[in-house]
Amino acid sequence: MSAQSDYQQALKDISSLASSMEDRISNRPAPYTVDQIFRRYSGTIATPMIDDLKAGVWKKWENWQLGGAISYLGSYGTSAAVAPLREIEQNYPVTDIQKQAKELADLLATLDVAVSEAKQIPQVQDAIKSGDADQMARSMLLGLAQIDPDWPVRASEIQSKLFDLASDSFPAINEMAAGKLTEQDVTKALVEILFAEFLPGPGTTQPKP
Amino acid sequence: MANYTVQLTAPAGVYPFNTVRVSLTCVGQPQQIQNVVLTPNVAVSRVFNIANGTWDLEISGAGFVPVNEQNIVVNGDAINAKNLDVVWYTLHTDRNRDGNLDDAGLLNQVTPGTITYGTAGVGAIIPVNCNRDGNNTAAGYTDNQDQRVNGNNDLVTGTSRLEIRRNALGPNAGAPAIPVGWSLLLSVIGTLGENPAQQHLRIFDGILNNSAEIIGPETTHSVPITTVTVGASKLYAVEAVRFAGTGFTSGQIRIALNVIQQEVTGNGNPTYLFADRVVVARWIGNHHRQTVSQIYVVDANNANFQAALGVPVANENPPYALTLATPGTSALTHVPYLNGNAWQNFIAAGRIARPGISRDRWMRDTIVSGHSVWPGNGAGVQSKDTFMKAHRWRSLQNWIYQTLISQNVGLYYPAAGSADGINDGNSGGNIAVTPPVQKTVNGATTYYRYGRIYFGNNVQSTVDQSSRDFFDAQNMQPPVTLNTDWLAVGHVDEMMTFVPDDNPANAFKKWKLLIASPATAYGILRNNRNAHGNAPLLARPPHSPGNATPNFAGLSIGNAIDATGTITDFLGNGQAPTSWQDINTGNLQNYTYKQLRDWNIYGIENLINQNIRRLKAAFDLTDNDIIKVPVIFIPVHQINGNFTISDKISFWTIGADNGFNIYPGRECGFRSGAMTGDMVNMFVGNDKLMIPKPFGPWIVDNTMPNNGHDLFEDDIRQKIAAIQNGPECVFIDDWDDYHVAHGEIHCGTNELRAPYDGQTAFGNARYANWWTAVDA
Repeated sequence: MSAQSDYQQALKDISSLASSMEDRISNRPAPYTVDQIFRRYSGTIATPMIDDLKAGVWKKWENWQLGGAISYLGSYGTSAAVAPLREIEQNYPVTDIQKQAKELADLLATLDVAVSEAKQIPQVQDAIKSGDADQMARSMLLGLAQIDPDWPVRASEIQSKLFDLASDSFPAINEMAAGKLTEQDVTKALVEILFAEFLPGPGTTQPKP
Repeated sequence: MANYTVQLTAPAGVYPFNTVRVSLTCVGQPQQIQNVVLTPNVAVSRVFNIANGTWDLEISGAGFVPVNEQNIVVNGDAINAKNLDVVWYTLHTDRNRDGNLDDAGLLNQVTPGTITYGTAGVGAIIPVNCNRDGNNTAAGYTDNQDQRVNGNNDLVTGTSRLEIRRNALGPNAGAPAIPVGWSLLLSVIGTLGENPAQQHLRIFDGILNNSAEIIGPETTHSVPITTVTVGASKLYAVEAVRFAGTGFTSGQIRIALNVIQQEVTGNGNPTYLFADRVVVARWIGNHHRQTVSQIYVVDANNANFQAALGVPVANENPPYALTLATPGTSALTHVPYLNGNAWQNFIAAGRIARPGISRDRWMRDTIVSGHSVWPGNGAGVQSKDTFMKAHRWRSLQNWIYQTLISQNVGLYYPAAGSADGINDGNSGGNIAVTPPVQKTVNGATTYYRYGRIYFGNNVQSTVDQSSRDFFDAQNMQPPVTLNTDWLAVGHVDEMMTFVPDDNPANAFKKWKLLIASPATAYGILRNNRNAHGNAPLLARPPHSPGNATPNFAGLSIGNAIDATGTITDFLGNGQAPTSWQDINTGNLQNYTYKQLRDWNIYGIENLINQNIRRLKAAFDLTDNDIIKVPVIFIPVHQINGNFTISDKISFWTIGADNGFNIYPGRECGFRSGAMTGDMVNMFVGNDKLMIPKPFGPWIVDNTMPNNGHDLFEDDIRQKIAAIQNGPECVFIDDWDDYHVAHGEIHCGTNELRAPYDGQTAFGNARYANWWTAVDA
């Protein structure tokens, strides 16, 4: 399946869903449902979608569909989407959509610079060559940390709060466990509880390799 | 030189003018001018030391008929005595709201300075003329969307009055001669920051059928009027184009009558004015303590439902008629809206065209039942049933605009012309009104005699800004917002309603609040597990209405063709026959009865309780005022995104449990719908409650008329029976026509209700009308 045919299939799925809802009390899918349908195809359909938006398809889309498409582009959109988003921001007649398009266009407009800078980092280049998902994710996050001054600040805040919570919990745990647990054990368990959904299996204590 | 004395006598009587300018001119001599302050019926003299010669005398002043005497030969001292005439024009509205026009306000001021309410409230109330009296406007247009008075009935029931009067005192008062240079200018003035006043109000050139607009959206904000046109007096019909709301928050307009006396202030410059501040009538949403006078349901291949609904309707007390709406045969109709100063056809923002023709059955969601009241024109207080059109864009609106708008029924669409997007929250089923309630905080009580509007308005389910502005600007029924994000449709009528309770002790507690409760439903199942574990849910019982067979007929819901399960099943841990579709994969996702049960009891019940807490914060509500109604919900679809600990129903359950461990409405959680019939989603009639059949656990008992009984029906029936003089419960099978499409009887009906009799309810004549009942 090509990106274009995937994209066309997504549009068909959305159209079918809307048709199936015709007699229901809600007769249009919610924007987040449209977003979910697009996301079935991960990022592959972003390019044909952006091309379609550039060609003006948004003028024929109702706000529930366009809202879902913009949500999808919130994850998979590229700087190529800025121009049609600006058009939508200025010409689509729904206030909420205008606002949504503006926010995303503003964000994507910064991507060009960030991406080209991050791609120059050797570790990022190596990770891309390796094709390893985990290595790529780590290297690219660290790459962004180097070029975005706000990134380490935000990460540090999260880390600090995590340690605070573990530290606050530790005295009680220490007493209950009669000294058999360390604060590091508590921190590790806390991470697993908070992020269980992204770890290998329910109940496991093994971090993802 | 001569001492030339001008002696002036102003007429006896009361009038707001007292100053004239006396001028003597003569060729080759400097002009002599004196301003003279007069007292009624008192001669006042002014001496001019002037040269002998031929002089012209001019006397002029605001309100005074000018004197212009030429070629006066002055040859020594002389006296010229003049008895002056006063003629002035005034503006009159029904400022004290008794149906009759009042005396003029104060000169050069806006009267009243402030619109007030209560028993001594002032400021004329102008009706929003949004019905269709003459039926002589284009299809879809209401009377206030064209430039004329629409029939004699429209004059009485759709417009108020404005009068310009000529007042005269002095020697020629019986037949005053109005100078040619006098003219009048009638204007409307808006409030700073609001849209222009002419977009809100229309003034017609008389009080006859077909009288034409002289001020209004399509003409002007200011119109010259000749004194000849007015004569001794002239009445003008007035109507409001809109209720208060976006761009017109105050609901107020100033109407000014400028009088131009050319000899005083020059050509075109106002000499004095009288101005009145007026306010448009308010819209009041109906509540369930008001008597039903009409019920509407859509003809949508739902003959069995219509017949079933018709039975209790026919036996209601007081009685009322059932009207079938026919959107399936209603022509495509334009929705007019005011674009600047012209009416144009509205297409909802984010929609491409008008909705097509179909049997859209969701009568509740299209319009919101309400009414509007104003003092009238001397023939008694006027009231008009007025629906608010919800910002929804489906084919039923063709029937609404083609047929429902009529002499008896008005329609107002706050979001017409707006850039508000359409979403499910903008539906009549998501907008309701409590009966009269009160709130006591630290000994201070606030009374909501018209109830409070409540609607779901959170992250996923929102009401459009224009409709919210409209509610706020009415300042009648301060809204309470609830969280309905946990519902796939997201309407408040899916989780609660109010039923009448003739509690004699408290005028603000004449109701019971019915709340959907999965915990109650599962409690009933648990209590009957031992005795009736095999009793089936979600099946039409044998030989019951809708099922002629001797066997149970399973009902379809939630991707299951037959969702039937026994009490034991529902309380066990087996696979439920229902499923939800994962949009991410397109796959149907199964779940166990235990997952469903825990999610209902600990998830949905919790969210409903959060809403109860919001209601308790909004008005005096105790647990004794609440009737919990058994309903079980199922997941409909899942919301993508990330959850945090606070989104989890159970801390002890790892992760999201495929959505069942996340509060519905949150990211990673579901939005839900009723699995069993959603009984709170009922039609509250006059002495009957028309309740969707729940298809809860059915206990076979061949000694009973229906060969058995439904435990969920029994539960609500017993609780309603405990209400003193409470209504009768009538259960109607709406499963195939409404329930499977995610709605119920309330969603499929709408109604007119008579205005609430506040005078009787609250024991004081003050509460007969809203303008005396409210303080602001």
